[in-house]
Amino acid sequence: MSYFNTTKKGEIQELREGIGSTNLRTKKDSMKRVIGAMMAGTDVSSLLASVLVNMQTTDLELKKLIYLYLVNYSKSEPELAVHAVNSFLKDANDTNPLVRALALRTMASIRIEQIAEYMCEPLHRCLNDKDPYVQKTAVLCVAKMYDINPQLVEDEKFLDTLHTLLSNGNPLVVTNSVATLAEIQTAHPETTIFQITPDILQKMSAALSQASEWGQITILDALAAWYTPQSPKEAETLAERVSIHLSHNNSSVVLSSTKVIIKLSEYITDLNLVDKLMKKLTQPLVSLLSSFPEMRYIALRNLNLIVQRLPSLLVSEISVFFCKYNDPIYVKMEKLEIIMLLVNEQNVPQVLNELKEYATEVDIDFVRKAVSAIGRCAILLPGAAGLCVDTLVHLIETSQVNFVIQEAIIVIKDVFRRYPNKYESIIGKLFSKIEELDEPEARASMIWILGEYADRIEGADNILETYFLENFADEPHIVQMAILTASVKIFLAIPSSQPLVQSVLKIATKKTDNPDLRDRGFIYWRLLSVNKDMAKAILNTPKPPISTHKDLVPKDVLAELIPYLGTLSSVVHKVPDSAAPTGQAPKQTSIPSGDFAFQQEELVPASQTQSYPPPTSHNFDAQANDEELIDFGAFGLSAYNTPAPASSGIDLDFLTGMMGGTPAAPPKIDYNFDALPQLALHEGVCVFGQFGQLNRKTTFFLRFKNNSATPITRTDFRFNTNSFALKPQSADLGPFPIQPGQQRDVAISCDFDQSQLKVTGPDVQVGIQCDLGMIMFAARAKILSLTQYNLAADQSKPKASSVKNRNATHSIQNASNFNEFVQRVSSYGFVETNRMVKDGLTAVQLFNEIPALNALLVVELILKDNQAQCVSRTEPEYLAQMLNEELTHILV
Amino acid sequence: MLSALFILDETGKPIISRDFRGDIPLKHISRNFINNFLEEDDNLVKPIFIVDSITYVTHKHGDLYLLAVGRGNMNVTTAMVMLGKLVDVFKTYFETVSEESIKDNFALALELLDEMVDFGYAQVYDPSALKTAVFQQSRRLTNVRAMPPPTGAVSWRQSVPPIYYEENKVFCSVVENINYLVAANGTVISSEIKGSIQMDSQLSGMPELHLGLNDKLAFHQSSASGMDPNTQAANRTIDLEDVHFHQCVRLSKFDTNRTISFIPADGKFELMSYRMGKLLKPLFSVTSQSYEFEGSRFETTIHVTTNFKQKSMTKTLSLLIPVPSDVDTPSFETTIGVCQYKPELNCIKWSLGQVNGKKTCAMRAQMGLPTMSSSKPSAVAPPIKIMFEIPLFTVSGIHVRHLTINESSGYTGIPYINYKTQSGEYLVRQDPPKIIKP
Repeated sequence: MSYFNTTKKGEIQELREGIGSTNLRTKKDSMKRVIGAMMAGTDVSSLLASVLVNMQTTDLELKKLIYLYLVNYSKSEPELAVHAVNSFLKDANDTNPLVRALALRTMASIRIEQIAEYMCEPLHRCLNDKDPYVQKTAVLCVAKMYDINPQLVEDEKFLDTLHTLLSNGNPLVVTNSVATLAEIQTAHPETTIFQITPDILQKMSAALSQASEWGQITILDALAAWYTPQSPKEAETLAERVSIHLSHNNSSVVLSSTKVIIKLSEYITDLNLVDKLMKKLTQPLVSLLSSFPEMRYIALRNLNLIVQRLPSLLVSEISVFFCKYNDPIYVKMEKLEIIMLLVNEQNVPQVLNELKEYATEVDIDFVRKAVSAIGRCAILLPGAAGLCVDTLVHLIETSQVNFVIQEAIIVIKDVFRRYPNKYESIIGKLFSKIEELDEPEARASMIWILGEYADRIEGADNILETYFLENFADEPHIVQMAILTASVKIFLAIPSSQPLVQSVLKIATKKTDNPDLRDRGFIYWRLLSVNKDMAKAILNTPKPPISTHKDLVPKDVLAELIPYLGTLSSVVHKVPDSAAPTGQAPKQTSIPSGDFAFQQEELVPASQTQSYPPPTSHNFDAQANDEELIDFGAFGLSAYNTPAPASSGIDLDFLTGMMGGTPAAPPKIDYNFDALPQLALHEGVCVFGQFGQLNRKTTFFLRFKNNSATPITRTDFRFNTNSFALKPQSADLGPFPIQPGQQRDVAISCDFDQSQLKVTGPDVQVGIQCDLGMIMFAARAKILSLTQYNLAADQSKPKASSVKNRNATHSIQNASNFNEFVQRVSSYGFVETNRMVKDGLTAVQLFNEIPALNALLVVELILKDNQAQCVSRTEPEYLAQMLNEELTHILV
Repeated sequence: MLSALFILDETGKPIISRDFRGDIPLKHISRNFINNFLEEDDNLVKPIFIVDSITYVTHKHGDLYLLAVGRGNMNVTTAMVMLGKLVDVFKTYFETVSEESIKDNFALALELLDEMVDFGYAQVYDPSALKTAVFQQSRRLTNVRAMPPPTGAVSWRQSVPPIYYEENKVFCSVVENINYLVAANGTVISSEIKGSIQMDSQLSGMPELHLGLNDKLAFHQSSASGMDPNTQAANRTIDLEDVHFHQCVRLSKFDTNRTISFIPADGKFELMSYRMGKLLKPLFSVTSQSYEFEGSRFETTIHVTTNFKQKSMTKTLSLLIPVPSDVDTPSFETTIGVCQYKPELNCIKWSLGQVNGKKTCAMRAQMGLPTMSSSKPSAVAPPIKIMFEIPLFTVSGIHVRHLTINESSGYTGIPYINYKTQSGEYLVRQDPPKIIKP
């Protein structure tokens, strides 16, 4: 019997009779057919009245079918539906908890306001039912009711009941309460309905260990969204607790636990513990990939974010991201993205072998992406560039597939851009394939190579003429532009090719209707006719190196996305705008070339959008634009040797400060860098450092260790305004790049700058801006490293006596070395301003000053009855505490 | 949370649907799904997409599409897991989950959904817990009592009324799926064991089970806390990575003293799953050499060697060897087993049956090629796939030491323990055929 064939005429009538039958079997069968018709999309709403008659049945199977029908059709005739209320109310009082819950659940799902009002009384009762099944159902009914009539929920104080239920003994009741409160809070961010107080936190974390997998997700999501730890200790305890759930086989539990742990780790100060927690994430994250394909896709999108946030976490697991032959294309593409995020000098041979394998597969888009990835490896990893180029050449020589060759040539052009004059030996091999190129981009790339290396390619002018000039008028714009530029470059290299360049310029300026091409043609023409040398200088200007950035999501967006792991945001890599439901523009960026687009109303107006470099495959386009600009005439760029960000065009700031060329390797510094304390850990970059003295100058000793997967190509080193008016002399830690795994030891000498003076405390806030973002930390400054060494004793005496305020005294052990103590203090430039020896008492007054701070330092060492004491006095007072601490250090 | 859930047939037509929240007009969902998923260009298809601010989460199962839709920044991972697990639950009720079985059991499916999901939140997903609350008869289940499903701390097992079996027994099988990707030259590109312990509990009351595994098991979670790799090698421990447990296992207890103790769910369930990466030697070594005589014939020779210990024996072993399309008149020679040409897969299936360890078998196939071919000689050689099953053998060496059953009534249950190693996805890449011009 089929329940789905209901299109016959008179069917509805037949069903009506069936439902009205006195035989229970017939009734049930007819009711099932009604539901079947409903599912098939037939309108059976006209049966509402007949169905309602049967509501009082005691047969549960029939009752469930009727309720299912009511949920679907009550809305079409609310007046009739209200007649069902009495039956509902009766059922909500039934002795069987299943019936009570069913009635309440159905009633709340009907979503008619009048019915909501009738619901209040049974809902109150069911929230306090003795059966937890009824309670958990009732809890969700509060959410349903809030959706229909929020005012009613507030008036009836249901939310207070939910808060009480958070301490219920049944985990499902607790988690449903959390879900309901969280949902209402999300929908109304302006309210404070759900706040995770220490008390609630305790209840949630108790329920976490007992809850079902779904309940765990609810609790973890709520923690990720609203919980901020009050102390590092609290964060530690909770993180340990949550980490148990990483071994759940439900992928969503794993992802939700991961985001909570990452979020909490930001509050934990014990870096070892953080490290340990992060290590625990690796394996569970890897196993997300063993789920079914659609789940793998979600997992990969999330892993992409996690890898960007914590690059070291999965770098040793790169082989799990290698594509399987039968992975769906969307999985392969995502895997390739992650492989490119993880590739480094160590694993690049393995990765290249894989990419080469992918280049033999059938799916065109995937193969192209794989080939272009080989080029990206070359650009990212200078050490592996040779290997990558070999792989590309191998592909060009052996591949029988046309688009592989074309794609390879496109990326080789980029490799040439990155490493000028390094791999020109392969040019011959490229030109053997010149006839097979039919795609505009591949042709344009080939022409660019031809122009760039015109002086080294035999007969470059003939090649251009033979292969590219014939159909100049029909070529796409990009190829025409390339031909124009290349012909000028060739002429500059081979003066005998003048007829060629003239004919090209003529076509470009006279026979084209493309204004770009014509304008460029005119400029070249004039340039060549006015001054050939200048033309040469302009056209052969070194181009800005191609970008080595592989970060796709900007740091601030990334940081905001982490608490949303597992949600839609993490899949589309966009920050949700739930924070601005009232129509204000969301503060976040939108992705220009995303595969998904949020609904138009959610899009940020263009003027408010700060866009960031578009994902990978688009990078080269942006660079191509740069290159066009340069070819066209970026004057005086010859000294430009810092990488420009891919998409921002040419930043003129560089001209002001960075003309100096590559800094020389730093001289060997006589300092034990291994003893430096660790100050910060950021994205895999580890910073050690402290203030000290080098050649009697205040110096910041810094060890910069790059454990991330990204080479560091630039740094900027700054102090915040501080109590000592300190300012670093040099701002970068060159020479660059600092490769992953490398470390750099530098001694940064510091100057005094009054504009930097602001009394804050003994710590100096230090910021290092690098490729991976801003690294911030605080370093304790040392007063004794700021002192003077050339003081005259006579001038110092009155100053010393002017310091009046007296502060801490501390006794010194081992008084027999009294003279040595005096020596030690003097070694910091202190001069002796007073000495008194009388009746077994020896007192020595030592003085120093810090002119930049108008600071006067007085240290008095007193020896009496074999008891040594040290008294320090300072002006201004805020230095007293510090001086005291440092003295303790040198005297003990 | 989900707003609604659909089960669609292969053409995108809804078979059943359930609206949980009423915040989405359901009229166009099916059409949007067809336009943006089924008829979308292959390269642009994503399992998650957004149309008109509504998020679509899709999961394909056989000839069905499961589709969850929702608004706002929903937790799509949860939605996807819910779809995946929905299929699992349906399976225990209707054996197979297909268009036909859903149509036959649509009322039951709807009733199940009603218990499993409320207002878009997953509630009770445990098949054994659902039994008492569902009345529609499927082809397998009869006689239910009207009881709410358990929701308490032991939500996976009903306590009232107690479960009763005439004969108390529990089956425990350790199943390891072996995934390998081997390059043509024999080097292992990636490898992993995905093992699981599958339970089938037929025990009365509320029994407490303790499962003991080899002492040498090192769970990866602990090795994160700094175990010395040298001592690990010396003890020859089995290093399990990423262990996952069924929710019945007391994780806190496992965390403190490494015992797996649990009150089992009733019937079949997966107690634990684990993963082991970076294996040593592949179970099978395969070499293949193929020639394509352009326009006349295609020849391939395959050698396969079993590397596991000699006394183990495969229950089944077969290789799927891809060949060019449009071949004809195949002829085979084998040292063991039989070959069959499968034109629908463009493959030769070589079935070897029972093979002991440390043996080498060979196969040679010759097939004609069309003399005139529009396509160029195929430079692509898809990987060879190996399918096998080895009973009473685990690659990892994991071993159940004891399985004790304690129940307050004091009956003695009988544990049955079984081991099996089988192929997950065992692929061996091959070099493209050497092309010999006529």
